Amino acid sequence: MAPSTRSTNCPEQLTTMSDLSNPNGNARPQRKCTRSKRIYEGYEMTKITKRTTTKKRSSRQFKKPLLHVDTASSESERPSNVCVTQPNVTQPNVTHSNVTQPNVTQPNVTQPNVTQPNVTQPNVTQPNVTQPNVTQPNIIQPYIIKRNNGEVYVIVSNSDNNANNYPSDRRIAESLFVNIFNHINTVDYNNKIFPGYDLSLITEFKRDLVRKNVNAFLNKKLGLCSVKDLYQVFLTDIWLNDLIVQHYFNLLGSKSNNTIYVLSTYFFLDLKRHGIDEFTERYLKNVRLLNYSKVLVPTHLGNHWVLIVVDFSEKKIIYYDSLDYFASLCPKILMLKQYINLGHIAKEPNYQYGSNITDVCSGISPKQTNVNDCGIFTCTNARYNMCNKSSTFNQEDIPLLRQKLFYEMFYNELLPIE
Amino acid sequence: MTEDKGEDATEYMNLKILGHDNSVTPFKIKKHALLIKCLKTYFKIIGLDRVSVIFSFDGHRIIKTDTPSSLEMKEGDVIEVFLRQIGG
Repeated sequence: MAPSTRSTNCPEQLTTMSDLSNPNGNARPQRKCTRSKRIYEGYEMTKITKRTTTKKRSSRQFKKPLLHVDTASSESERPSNVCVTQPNVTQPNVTHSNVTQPNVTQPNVTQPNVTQPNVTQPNVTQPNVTQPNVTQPNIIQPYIIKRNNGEVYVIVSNSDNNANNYPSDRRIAESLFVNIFNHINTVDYNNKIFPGYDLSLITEFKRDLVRKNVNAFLNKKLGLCSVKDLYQVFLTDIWLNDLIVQHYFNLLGSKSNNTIYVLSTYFFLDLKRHGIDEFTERYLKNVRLLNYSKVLVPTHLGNHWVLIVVDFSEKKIIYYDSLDYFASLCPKILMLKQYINLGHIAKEPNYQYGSNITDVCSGISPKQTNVNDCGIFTCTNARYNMCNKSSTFNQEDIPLLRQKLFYEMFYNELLPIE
Repeated sequence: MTEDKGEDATEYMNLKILGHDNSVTPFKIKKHALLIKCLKTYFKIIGLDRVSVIFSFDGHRIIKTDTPSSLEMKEGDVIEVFLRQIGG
Protein backbone atom coordinates (compact mmCIF):
# COMPACT_ATOMS: atom_id res chain seq x y z
CA MET A 1 0.00 0.00 0.00
CA ALA A 2 3.05 2.15 -0.09
CA PRO A 3 2.45 3.59 -3.61
CA SER A 4 -1.06 4.64 -2.68
CA THR A 5 0.20 6.48 0.31
CA ARG A 6 2.94 8.02 -1.78
CA SER A 7 0.48 9.09 -4.43
CA THR A 8 -1.80 10.56 -1.89
CA ASN A 9 1.10 12.24 -0.12
CA CYS A 10 2.68 13.72 -3.19
CA PRO A 11 0.02 16.30 -4.14
CA GLU A 12 -0.14 17.37 -0.56
CA GLN A 13 3.62 17.90 -0.54
CA LEU A 14 3.44 19.77 -3.77
CA THR A 15 0.68 22.00 -2.56
CA THR A 16 2.52 22.63 0.63
CA MET A 17 5.76 23.38 -1.15
CA SER A 18 4.02 25.63 -3.59
CA ASP A 19 2.20 27.33 -0.79
CA LEU A 20 5.45 27.89 0.96
CA SER A 21 7.39 29.06 -2.01
CA ASN A 22 4.69 30.89 -3.92
CA PRO A 23 1.37 32.37 -2.92
CA ASN A 24 -0.48 30.89 -5.93
CA GLY A 25 -0.97 27.16 -5.58
CA ASN A 26 -1.51 26.00 -9.18
CA ALA A 27 1.02 28.29 -10.79
CA ARG A 28 3.78 25.79 -11.53
CA PRO A 29 2.28 23.57 -14.24
CA GLN A 30 0.85 26.60 -16.01
CA ARG A 31 4.19 28.30 -16.04
CA LYS A 32 5.85 25.24 -17.50
CA CYS A 33 3.31 25.07 -20.26
CA THR A 34 3.58 28.74 -21.07
CA ARG A 35 7.37 28.59 -21.11
CA SER A 36 7.41 25.67 -23.51
CA LYS A 37 4.87 27.40 -25.76
CA ARG A 38 6.83 30.58 -25.73
CA ILE A 39 10.00 28.75 -26.63
CA TYR A 40 8.24 26.88 -29.41
CA GLU A 41 6.68 30.04 -30.73
CA GLY A 42 10.02 31.70 -30.62
CA TYR A 43 11.48 28.99 -32.81
CA GLU A 44 8.63 29.36 -35.19
CA MET A 45 8.94 33.08 -35.33
CA THR A 46 12.65 32.92 -35.93
CA LYS A 47 12.18 30.36 -38.64
CA ILE A 48 9.51 32.39 -40.40
CA THR A 49 11.47 35.58 -40.20
CA LYS A 50 14.56 33.88 -41.57
CA ARG A 51 12.59 32.49 -44.49
CA THR A 52 11.00 35.80 -45.35
CA THR A 53 14.29 37.62 -45.19
CA THR A 54 15.93 35.11 -47.52
CA LYS A 55 13.08 35.48 -49.99
CA LYS A 56 13.32 39.24 -49.93
CA ARG A 57 17.07 39.14 -50.34
CA SER A 58 16.84 36.77 -53.27
CA SER A 59 14.21 38.90 -54.97
CA ARG A 60 16.26 42.03 -54.37
CA GLN A 61 19.35 40.37 -55.72
CA PHE A 62 17.36 39.38 -58.76
CA LYS A 63 15.83 42.76 -59.38
CA LYS A 64 18.62 45.19 -58.68
CA PRO A 65 21.48 44.00 -60.85
CA LEU A 66 19.34 42.72 -63.67
CA LEU A 67 17.50 45.83 -64.68
CA HIS A 68 18.89 49.07 -63.46
CA VAL A 69 17.11 51.76 -65.38
CA ASP A 70 19.22 54.84 -65.87
CA THR A 71 17.12 57.10 -67.99
CA ALA A 72 14.32 58.84 -66.21
CA SER A 73 12.34 58.93 -69.42
CA SER A 74 11.78 55.22 -69.50
CA GLU A 75 10.66 55.28 -65.88
CA SER A 76 8.26 58.05 -66.64
CA GLU A 77 6.86 55.99 -69.44
CA ARG A 78 5.89 53.16 -67.16
CA PRO A 79 2.56 54.48 -65.97
CA SER A 80 1.65 55.88 -69.35
CA ASN A 81 2.19 52.61 -71.13
CA VAL A 82 0.44 50.67 -68.46
CA CYS A 83 -2.44 53.06 -68.55
CA VAL A 84 -2.63 52.69 -72.29
CA THR A 85 -2.77 48.95 -72.12
CA GLN A 86 -5.19 48.63 -69.27
CA PRO A 87 -8.13 50.62 -70.63
CA ASN A 88 -8.01 48.54 -73.78
CA VAL A 89 -8.78 45.61 -71.58
CA THR A 90 -11.24 47.38 -69.35
CA GLN A 91 -13.20 49.35 -71.90
CA PRO A 92 -15.34 46.46 -73.07
CA ASN A 93 -15.91 45.59 -69.42
CA VAL A 94 -17.24 49.05 -68.63
CA THR A 95 -20.65 47.99 -69.79
CA HIS A 96 -20.52 45.05 -67.41
CA SER A 97 -19.43 47.13 -64.49
CA ASN A 98 -22.21 49.61 -65.03
CA VAL A 99 -24.66 46.80 -64.71
CA THR A 100 -22.98 44.69 -62.07
CA GLN A 101 -21.79 47.35 -59.65
CA PRO A 102 -25.24 48.52 -58.58
CA ASN A 103 -25.97 44.92 -57.62
CA VAL A 104 -23.07 45.10 -55.20
CA THR A 105 -23.98 48.52 -53.86
CA GLN A 106 -27.74 48.11 -53.54
CA PRO A 107 -27.79 45.22 -51.06
CA ASN A 108 -25.16 47.02 -48.93
CA VAL A 109 -27.35 50.08 -48.67
CA THR A 110 -30.73 48.41 -48.42
CA GLN A 111 -30.23 45.08 -46.74
CA PRO A 112 -33.73 44.61 -45.30
CA ASN A 113 -35.32 44.88 -48.75
CA VAL A 114 -34.51 41.39 -49.86
CA THR A 115 -37.10 41.33 -52.58
CA GLN A 116 -35.63 44.16 -54.62
CA PRO A 117 -32.27 42.55 -55.44
CA ASN A 118 -34.10 39.34 -56.21
CA VAL A 119 -36.02 41.29 -58.80
CA THR A 120 -32.95 43.07 -60.14
CA GLN A 121 -30.65 40.08 -60.35
CA PRO A 122 -32.48 38.23 -63.11
CA ASN A 123 -32.48 41.48 -65.06
CA VAL A 124 -28.69 41.43 -64.75
CA THR A 125 -28.21 37.82 -65.70
CA GLN A 126 -29.87 38.36 -69.04
CA PRO A 127 -27.27 40.86 -70.33
CA ASN A 128 -24.54 38.58 -68.99
CA VAL A 129 -25.84 35.95 -71.35
CA THR A 130 -26.06 38.33 -74.27
CA GLN A 131 -22.73 40.09 -73.75
CA PRO A 132 -20.36 37.19 -74.58
CA ASN A 133 -21.52 37.61 -78.15
CA VAL A 134 -19.81 41.01 -78.06
CA THR A 135 -16.42 39.20 -77.63
CA GLN A 136 -15.11 39.70 -74.12
CA PRO A 137 -11.31 39.87 -74.19
CA ASN A 138 -10.54 38.22 -70.87
CA ILE A 139 -12.78 35.19 -70.94
CA ILE A 140 -11.53 32.16 -72.84
CA GLN A 141 -14.25 30.87 -75.07
CA PRO A 142 -14.09 27.29 -76.22
CA TYR A 143 -15.27 26.88 -79.76
CA ILE A 144 -16.98 23.62 -80.49
CA ILE A 145 -17.35 22.19 -83.95
CA LYS A 146 -19.60 19.28 -84.77
CA ARG A 147 -19.12 17.53 -88.05
CA ASN A 148 -21.40 15.19 -89.92
CA ASN A 149 -19.40 12.15 -88.82
CA GLY A 150 -20.27 12.84 -85.22
CA GLU A 151 -16.72 13.93 -84.31
CA VAL A 152 -16.49 16.93 -82.04
CA TYR A 153 -13.57 19.36 -81.98
CA VAL A 154 -12.97 21.87 -79.22
CA ILE A 155 -10.67 24.81 -79.86
CA VAL A 156 -9.85 27.24 -77.08
CA SER A 157 -9.29 30.75 -78.31
CA ASN A 158 -7.87 33.63 -76.33
CA SER A 159 -9.45 36.06 -78.81
CA ASP A 160 -6.94 38.80 -77.99
CA ASN A 161 -5.44 38.30 -81.40
CA ASN A 162 -7.93 40.54 -83.14
CA ALA A 163 -6.08 43.62 -81.97
CA ASN A 164 -2.99 42.68 -83.97
CA ASN A 165 -4.82 41.56 -87.10
CA TYR A 166 -3.98 37.95 -86.42
CA PRO A 167 -6.68 35.55 -87.45
CA SER A 168 -8.39 34.18 -84.42
CA ASP A 169 -8.54 30.45 -83.87
CA ARG A 170 -12.23 30.58 -84.47
CA ARG A 171 -11.68 31.85 -87.96
CA ILE A 172 -9.08 29.15 -88.64
CA ALA A 173 -11.51 26.52 -87.48
CA GLU A 174 -14.25 28.00 -89.62
CA SER A 175 -11.98 28.02 -92.61
CA LEU A 176 -11.13 24.38 -92.10
CA PHE A 177 -14.58 23.06 -91.52
CA VAL A 178 -16.93 25.45 -93.25
CA ASN A 179 -15.17 24.95 -96.58
CA ILE A 180 -13.44 28.26 -97.12
CA PHE A 181 -10.31 26.25 -97.81
CA ASN A 182 -11.56 24.72 -100.97
CA HIS A 183 -10.58 23.43 -104.34
CA ILE A 184 -10.35 26.17 -107.01
CA ASN A 185 -11.24 25.33 -110.58
CA THR A 186 -8.10 25.83 -112.66
CA VAL A 187 -9.33 24.93 -116.12
CA ASP A 188 -8.21 28.21 -117.67
CA TYR A 189 -4.78 28.31 -116.08
CA ASN A 190 -3.52 24.90 -117.33
CA ASN A 191 -1.68 24.45 -114.02
CA LYS A 192 1.02 26.98 -114.87
CA ILE A 193 1.17 28.53 -111.47
CA PHE A 194 0.60 25.50 -109.29
CA PRO A 195 1.69 22.33 -111.09
CA GLY A 196 0.12 19.17 -109.82
CA TYR A 197 -2.86 20.99 -108.38
CA ASP A 198 -5.83 18.68 -108.04
CA LEU A 199 -8.77 17.94 -105.87
CA SER A 200 -6.88 14.95 -104.47
CA LEU A 201 -4.12 17.28 -103.23
CA ILE A 202 -6.67 19.35 -101.36
CA THR A 203 -8.03 16.26 -99.68
CA GLU A 204 -4.50 15.34 -98.62
CA PHE A 205 -4.15 18.81 -97.16
CA LYS A 206 -7.30 18.43 -95.17
CA ARG A 207 -6.24 15.00 -93.95
CA ASP A 208 -3.07 16.55 -92.56
CA LEU A 209 -4.79 19.60 -91.18
CA VAL A 210 -7.78 17.91 -89.58
CA ARG A 211 -6.67 15.73 -86.73
CA LYS A 212 -8.13 14.88 -83.41
CA ASN A 213 -5.62 16.83 -81.34
CA VAL A 214 -6.01 20.13 -83.11
CA ASN A 215 -4.47 22.23 -80.37
CA ALA A 216 -1.24 20.26 -80.30
CA PHE A 217 -1.05 20.37 -84.06
CA LEU A 218 -1.57 24.12 -84.24
CA ASN A 219 1.36 24.77 -81.90
CA LYS A 220 3.77 22.51 -83.77
CA LYS A 221 6.84 24.42 -84.92
CA LEU A 222 8.07 24.57 -88.49
CA GLY A 223 11.32 26.48 -88.42
CA LEU A 224 10.53 29.98 -87.22
CA CYS A 225 6.77 29.92 -87.21
CA SER A 226 4.20 27.50 -85.94
CA VAL A 227 1.47 25.91 -87.99
CA LYS A 228 -1.01 28.34 -86.54
CA ASP A 229 0.87 31.23 -88.12
CA LEU A 230 0.81 29.50 -91.47
CA TYR A 231 -2.96 29.60 -91.54
CA GLN A 232 -2.72 33.30 -92.27
CA VAL A 233 -1.44 32.41 -95.69
CA PHE A 234 -4.44 30.76 -97.21
CA LEU A 235 -7.13 32.74 -95.44
CA THR A 236 -8.26 35.47 -97.77
CA ASP A 237 -7.94 39.13 -96.81
CA ILE A 238 -5.43 38.61 -94.03
CA TRP A 239 -2.14 40.47 -93.85
CA LEU A 240 1.10 38.58 -93.73
CA ASN A 241 3.27 38.46 -90.66
CA ASP A 242 7.02 39.02 -90.39
CA LEU A 243 7.58 35.45 -89.24
CA ILE A 244 5.95 34.05 -92.33
CA VAL A 245 7.83 36.32 -94.71
CA GLN A 246 11.12 35.53 -93.01
CA HIS A 247 10.35 31.83 -93.06
CA TYR A 248 9.62 31.85 -96.77
CA PHE A 249 12.72 33.85 -97.63
CA ASN A 250 14.88 31.54 -95.54
CA LEU A 251 13.41 28.67 -97.52
CA LEU A 252 14.36 30.44 -100.75
CA GLY A 253 17.87 30.96 -99.47
CA SER A 254 18.32 27.38 -98.32
CA LYS A 255 17.15 25.91 -101.63
CA SER A 256 19.38 28.11 -103.80
CA ASN A 257 22.70 26.23 -103.36
CA ASN A 258 24.42 29.17 -101.64
CA THR A 259 23.81 31.64 -104.44
CA ILE A 260 21.37 33.84 -102.56
CA TYR A 261 21.87 35.55 -99.22
CA VAL A 262 18.77 36.57 -97.27
CA LEU A 263 18.75 39.48 -94.85
CA SER A 264 16.24 39.81 -92.05
CA THR A 265 13.13 41.93 -92.39
CA TYR A 266 14.41 44.36 -89.77
CA PHE A 267 17.57 45.28 -91.66
CA PHE A 268 16.15 48.12 -93.71
CA LEU A 269 14.35 49.58 -90.71
CA ASP A 270 17.64 49.53 -88.84
CA LEU A 271 19.42 51.22 -91.72
CA LYS A 272 16.76 53.91 -91.73
CA ARG A 273 17.10 54.43 -88.01
CA HIS A 274 20.87 54.39 -87.55
CA GLY A 275 22.35 54.98 -90.98
CA ILE A 276 25.66 53.31 -91.69
CA ASP A 277 26.75 52.37 -88.22
CA GLU A 278 27.99 49.59 -85.97
CA PHE A 279 24.48 48.21 -85.72
CA THR A 280 23.99 47.77 -89.42
CA GLU A 281 27.47 46.46 -90.07
CA ARG A 282 26.83 43.58 -87.72
CA TYR A 283 24.20 42.16 -90.06
CA LEU A 284 26.81 41.23 -92.66
CA LYS A 285 29.53 40.25 -90.20
CA ASN A 286 31.58 37.28 -91.43
CA VAL A 287 29.78 37.29 -94.78
CA ARG A 288 31.60 37.71 -98.09
CA LEU A 289 28.99 39.23 -100.34
CA LEU A 290 30.72 38.59 -103.64
CA ASN A 291 30.42 34.85 -103.12
CA TYR A 292 26.71 35.28 -103.66
CA SER A 293 24.97 36.38 -106.80
CA LYS A 294 22.01 38.07 -105.11
CA VAL A 295 20.93 39.49 -101.81
CA LEU A 296 17.24 39.52 -100.97
CA VAL A 297 16.04 42.18 -98.57
CA PRO A 298 12.38 41.87 -97.62
CA THR A 299 11.43 45.22 -96.15
CA HIS A 300 8.51 46.57 -94.25
CA LEU A 301 7.27 50.13 -94.67
CA GLY A 302 4.70 50.88 -92.04
CA ASN A 303 1.91 48.69 -93.29
CA HIS A 304 3.34 47.50 -96.57
CA TRP A 305 5.68 44.74 -97.73
CA VAL A 306 8.27 45.50 -100.39
CA LEU A 307 11.15 43.57 -101.93
CA ILE A 308 14.64 44.93 -102.60
CA VAL A 309 17.08 42.78 -104.57
CA VAL A 310 20.80 43.52 -104.79
CA ASP A 311 21.98 41.87 -108.00
CA PHE A 312 25.77 41.55 -108.24
CA SER A 313 25.86 40.06 -111.74
CA GLU A 314 23.99 43.01 -113.27
CA LYS A 315 25.35 45.53 -110.70
CA LYS A 316 21.90 46.81 -109.87
CA ILE A 317 19.57 47.32 -107.00
CA ILE A 318 16.07 46.41 -108.09
CA TYR A 319 12.99 47.48 -106.20
CA TYR A 320 9.75 45.54 -106.49
CA ASP A 321 6.54 47.06 -105.24
CA SER A 322 2.92 46.20 -105.84
CA LEU A 323 2.07 49.83 -105.10
CA ASP A 324 4.24 52.81 -106.00
CA TYR A 325 6.47 54.13 -103.24
CA PHE A 326 9.67 54.30 -105.29
CA ALA A 327 10.01 58.06 -105.35
CA SER A 328 9.74 58.43 -101.60
CA LEU A 329 12.09 55.54 -100.87
CA CYS A 330 14.78 56.40 -103.42
CA PRO A 331 17.16 58.26 -101.04
CA LYS A 332 17.08 55.36 -98.57
CA ILE A 333 17.88 52.90 -101.34
CA LEU A 334 20.81 55.08 -102.38
CA MET A 335 22.00 54.80 -98.80
CA LEU A 336 21.84 51.02 -99.10
CA LYS A 337 23.90 51.23 -102.28
CA GLN A 338 26.52 53.28 -100.47
CA TYR A 339 26.45 50.85 -97.55
CA ILE A 340 27.15 47.87 -99.77
CA ASN A 341 29.77 49.62 -101.93
CA LEU A 342 31.80 51.20 -99.16
CA GLY A 343 31.24 48.75 -96.39
CA HIS A 344 31.62 45.43 -98.08
CA ILE A 345 32.73 45.47 -101.70
CA ALA A 346 35.59 47.88 -101.02
CA LYS A 347 36.89 45.62 -98.27
CA GLU A 348 37.23 42.62 -100.55
CA PRO A 349 40.85 41.53 -101.15
CA ASN A 350 40.47 41.41 -104.94
CA TYR A 351 38.78 44.78 -105.19
CA GLN A 352 38.20 46.36 -108.57
CA TYR A 353 36.34 49.54 -109.20
CA GLY A 354 34.15 47.87 -111.81
CA SER A 355 32.53 45.60 -109.25
CA ASN A 356 30.66 48.48 -107.64
CA ILE A 357 26.91 48.72 -107.86
CA THR A 358 25.92 51.53 -110.18
CA ASP A 359 22.20 51.57 -110.84
CA VAL A 360 19.08 51.80 -108.75
CA CYS A 361 15.91 50.99 -110.63
CA SER A 362 12.39 49.83 -109.99
CA GLY A 363 11.46 46.45 -111.36
CA ILE A 364 8.21 45.62 -113.05
CA SER A 365 5.78 43.88 -110.77
CA PRO A 366 2.03 43.35 -111.14
CA LYS A 367 -0.06 45.81 -109.17
CA GLN A 368 -2.50 44.90 -106.49
CA THR A 369 -6.08 46.07 -106.68
CA ASN A 370 -6.64 45.06 -103.09
CA VAL A 371 -5.41 46.28 -99.71
CA ASN A 372 -4.56 42.87 -98.32
CA ASP A 373 -2.30 40.94 -100.67
CA CYS A 374 1.01 42.79 -100.73
CA GLY A 375 2.89 40.14 -98.76
CA ILE A 376 2.06 37.51 -101.31
CA PHE A 377 3.12 39.80 -104.14
CA THR A 378 6.55 40.26 -102.58
CA CYS A 379 7.03 36.54 -101.90
CA THR A 380 6.13 35.53 -105.43
CA ASN A 381 8.18 38.37 -106.89
CA ALA A 382 11.17 37.01 -105.00
CA ARG A 383 10.46 33.53 -106.30
CA TYR A 384 10.27 34.78 -109.90
CA ASN A 385 13.37 36.90 -109.52
CA MET A 386 15.28 33.94 -108.11
CA CYS A 387 14.64 32.08 -111.39
CA ASN A 388 15.47 35.22 -113.44
CA LYS A 389 11.98 35.39 -114.92
CA SER A 390 9.62 38.31 -115.27
CA SER A 391 6.58 37.94 -113.08
CA THR A 392 3.46 37.05 -115.04
CA PHE A 393 0.74 36.63 -112.45
CA ASN A 394 -2.29 38.77 -111.75
CA GLN A 395 -4.56 39.70 -108.93
CA GLU A 396 -6.89 36.90 -110.03
CA ASP A 397 -4.28 34.22 -109.37
CA ILE A 398 -3.82 35.11 -105.74
CA PRO A 399 -6.16 32.58 -104.08
CA LEU A 400 -4.19 29.92 -105.95
CA LEU A 401 -0.88 31.51 -104.99
CA ARG A 402 -1.87 31.58 -101.34
CA GLN A 403 -2.45 27.84 -101.37
CA LYS A 404 0.80 27.31 -103.24
CA LEU A 405 2.78 29.31 -100.69
CA PHE A 406 1.16 27.36 -97.90
CA TYR A 407 2.05 24.09 -99.60
CA GLU A 408 5.67 25.13 -100.06
CA MET A 409 6.11 26.28 -96.49
CA PHE A 410 4.30 23.31 -94.98
CA TYR A 411 6.31 20.64 -96.80
CA ASN A 412 9.62 22.61 -97.18
CA GLU A 413 9.68 22.23 -100.94
CA LEU A 414 9.84 24.72 -103.77
CA LEU A 415 7.53 24.10 -106.69
CA PRO A 416 8.75 24.97 -110.20
CA ILE A 417 7.36 27.97 -112.08
CA GLU A 418 5.67 27.34 -115.39
CA MET B 1 34.69 20.92 -69.08
CA THR B 2 32.71 21.06 -65.86
CA GLU B 3 35.38 23.11 -64.12
CA ASP B 4 35.49 25.57 -66.97
CA LYS B 5 31.74 25.89 -66.89
CA GLY B 6 31.83 26.49 -63.15
CA GLU B 7 34.33 29.29 -63.62
CA ASP B 8 32.32 30.83 -66.41
CA ALA B 9 29.06 30.61 -64.54
CA THR B 10 30.26 33.07 -61.94
CA GLU B 11 31.15 35.68 -64.52
CA TYR B 12 28.68 38.43 -65.23
CA MET B 13 28.24 40.32 -68.45
CA ASN B 14 26.99 43.84 -68.91
CA LEU B 15 24.55 44.13 -71.79
CA LYS B 16 22.16 46.80 -73.02
CA ILE B 17 18.69 46.81 -74.49
CA LEU B 18 17.90 49.47 -77.09
CA GLY B 19 14.18 50.00 -77.16
CA HIS B 20 12.02 50.84 -80.13
CA ASP B 21 11.90 54.46 -78.90
CA ASN B 22 15.73 54.69 -78.57
CA SER B 23 15.73 54.29 -74.79
CA VAL B 24 18.68 52.38 -73.35
CA THR B 25 18.37 50.05 -70.35
CA PRO B 26 21.56 48.34 -69.15
CA PHE B 27 21.41 45.03 -67.30
CA LYS B 28 23.71 42.35 -65.97
CA ILE B 29 23.46 38.63 -66.61
CA LYS B 30 25.43 35.44 -66.13
CA LYS B 31 26.98 33.91 -69.20
CA HIS B 32 25.04 30.66 -69.12
CA ALA B 33 21.72 32.06 -67.93
CA LEU B 34 18.77 32.19 -70.29
CA LEU B 35 18.19 35.56 -71.87
CA ILE B 36 14.42 35.18 -71.80
CA LYS B 37 14.41 35.61 -68.00
CA CYS B 38 15.83 39.09 -68.32
CA LEU B 39 13.61 40.00 -71.19
CA LYS B 40 10.49 39.01 -69.27
CA THR B 41 11.32 41.59 -66.60
CA TYR B 42 11.88 44.08 -69.39
CA PHE B 43 8.30 43.49 -70.57
CA LYS B 44 7.01 44.34 -67.12
CA ILE B 45 8.87 47.64 -67.02
CA ILE B 46 7.99 48.77 -70.52
CA GLY B 47 4.45 47.48 -70.40
CA LEU B 48 4.32 45.72 -73.75
CA ASP B 49 2.91 42.34 -74.60
CA ARG B 50 5.28 39.57 -75.45
CA VAL B 51 3.47 38.92 -78.69
CA SER B 52 3.99 42.40 -80.08
CA VAL B 53 7.78 42.63 -79.61
CA ILE B 54 10.82 40.89 -81.06
CA PHE B 55 14.38 40.89 -79.76
CA SER B 56 17.20 40.59 -82.22
CA PHE B 57 20.96 40.42 -81.88
CA ASP B 58 22.98 40.88 -85.08
CA GLY B 59 19.94 40.07 -87.14
CA HIS B 60 19.36 36.87 -85.19
CA ARG B 61 16.00 36.52 -83.55
CA ILE B 62 16.38 35.56 -79.89
CA ILE B 63 14.63 32.29 -79.03
CA LYS B 64 13.85 30.66 -75.68
CA THR B 65 17.01 28.57 -75.53
CA ASP B 66 19.50 31.35 -76.25
CA THR B 67 22.15 32.32 -73.74
CA PRO B 68 24.88 34.99 -74.05
CA SER B 69 27.51 32.31 -74.53
CA SER B 70 25.59 30.57 -77.30
CA LEU B 71 25.25 33.86 -79.22
CA GLU B 72 28.93 34.71 -78.58
CA MET B 73 28.15 38.03 -76.97
CA LYS B 74 30.82 40.34 -75.62
CA GLU B 75 30.86 43.05 -72.97
CA GLY B 76 28.62 45.97 -73.80
CA ASP B 77 26.76 44.41 -76.68
CA VAL B 78 23.35 45.76 -77.55
CA ILE B 79 20.11 43.82 -77.97
CA GLU B 80 17.59 45.60 -80.15
CA VAL B 81 13.84 45.69 -79.72
CA PHE B 82 11.49 45.82 -82.67
CA LEU B 83 7.77 45.94 -82.93
CA ARG B 84 6.19 43.16 -84.90
CA GLN B 85 5.61 43.86 -88.58
CA ILE B 86 2.35 43.20 -90.33
CA GLY B 87 1.69 44.41 -93.82
CA GLY B 88 -0.94 44.12 -96.47
